[in-house]
Amino acid sequence: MIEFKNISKVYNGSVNVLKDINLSIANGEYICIIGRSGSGKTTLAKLMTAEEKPTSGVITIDDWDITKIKKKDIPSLRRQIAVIFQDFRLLPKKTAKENISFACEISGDFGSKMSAKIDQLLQVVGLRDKANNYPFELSGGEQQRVAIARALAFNPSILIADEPTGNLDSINTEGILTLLQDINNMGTTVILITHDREIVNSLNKRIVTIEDGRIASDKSKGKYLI
Amino acid sequence: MFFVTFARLLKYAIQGFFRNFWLSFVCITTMVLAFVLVNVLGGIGIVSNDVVDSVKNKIDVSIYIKNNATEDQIFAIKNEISGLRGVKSITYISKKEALENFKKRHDSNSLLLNSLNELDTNPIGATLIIKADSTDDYSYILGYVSKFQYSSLIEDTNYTDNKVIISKMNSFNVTISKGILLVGLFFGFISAITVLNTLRITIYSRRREIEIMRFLGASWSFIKVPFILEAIFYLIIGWVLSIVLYYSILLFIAPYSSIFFSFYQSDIVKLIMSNSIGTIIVELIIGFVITIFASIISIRKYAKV
Repeated sequence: MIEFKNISKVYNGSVNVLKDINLSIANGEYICIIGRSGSGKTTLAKLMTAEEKPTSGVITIDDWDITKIKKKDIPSLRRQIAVIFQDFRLLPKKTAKENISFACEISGDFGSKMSAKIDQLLQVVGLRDKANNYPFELSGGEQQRVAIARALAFNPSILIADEPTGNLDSINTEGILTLLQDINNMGTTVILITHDREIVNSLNKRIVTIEDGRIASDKSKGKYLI
Repeated sequence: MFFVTFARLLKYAIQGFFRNFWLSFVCITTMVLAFVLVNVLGGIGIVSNDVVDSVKNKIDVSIYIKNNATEDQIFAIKNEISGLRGVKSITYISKKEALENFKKRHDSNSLLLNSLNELDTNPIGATLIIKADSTDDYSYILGYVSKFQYSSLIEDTNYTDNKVIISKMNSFNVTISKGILLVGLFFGFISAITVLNTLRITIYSRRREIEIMRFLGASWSFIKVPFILEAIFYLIIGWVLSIVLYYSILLFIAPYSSIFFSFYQSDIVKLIMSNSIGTIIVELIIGFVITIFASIISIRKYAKV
């Protein structure tokens, strides 16, 4: 369970990006956080990964208050909450397989078990034949699949997808959304952050709308209304 | 698990080294140039010190004994002087040898030689030639000689003439040593700053990689150690190549060195080779400290996500 209690975030003492956010996300839920550019969606994701600290309020993940997290515990948090981004953030000098294996290795996996896990992840994202390609040799959709496989290597309980289809065409977008649904079906909480109306309307999931730093609406099966 | 982790970190470092080949190449080249520059300055220092030392070694002081001194008295003087602090050697030139030497030196002056032959006795007295451990010791030795019990048997010394040369040599040596030390420190500092900044630029160009690793939840050591190991590879390869290049240059100039430095006997290549080992090891240690320092501060800066 992720809980945001009275969260506010102010930059430079005057730019109020998030205002009094109260939000609960259940384990295994698939939730869409939507809003216009600059509405505060990505800041919400940054707070969950301790990339930023809230100015006030408390965020708990399964009773772990991550607003008081120590620097040394941040890597551990980030291995539990995987994030995929619009710009993929793959390690450019590592192949698809090595990107995934890097995640496995920092999680402490090794040996034949790790090799089997990497093979399985490549199969899940449909990239076994491109395992030895570098990111620059892959299309946008393929790079995002590698990023998803890498995120799954952590066996995360939460997956945050921040505009994951922003750089993709409609066919690749559909593929990524199907993958996210499969991941959610396996029990992982999926938080999809987007401003894409068509995607949100096609999913028919819980939708939280952020407007001007506040939660404007929270509907269990909503549509993009902005 | 420690060995598995270390093997992984080493693997990342080797991958990073080869997959960022041009960055590695630039870093190694900078290190080679920095080391060679310092080595060349060190070599110049070694040679100039040796040149000054060899000139100093050629300096001696002659004590001319009065003609009426007996051989026993001369040997007594010799024994007393040889026991003094700072006396390296003392050579006795008998009256007969002194006359022969005088004649040889003036064999073109027939008037002088004829005049000598006209004399019934040998007018040239015996000489004692003193070599001291250091040029600084001559003033003590000659000061003692001017006051000791046999001072009445001393005709003269050439110390006053040599004193000026000795003083100039000492002053030259001090100036050269200070100059080389200052230039060496200056270029050593420039080299260190260049290496430090090259490493920082290398890590700066890979800051995105560091940020992604940090973002993925890689621990500090998982990010830091491969970069430090990579920098150590640059250092060791750069160091080895600089030694190869430096000694290649020395071997190349070896045939010409005997022409340029014909005024003294040392083989400068051998001299530099045998005297540079300490400097080269110190360079590696200093390079190691700079490498670790530059890597840590640069990675720390870009791993704040």
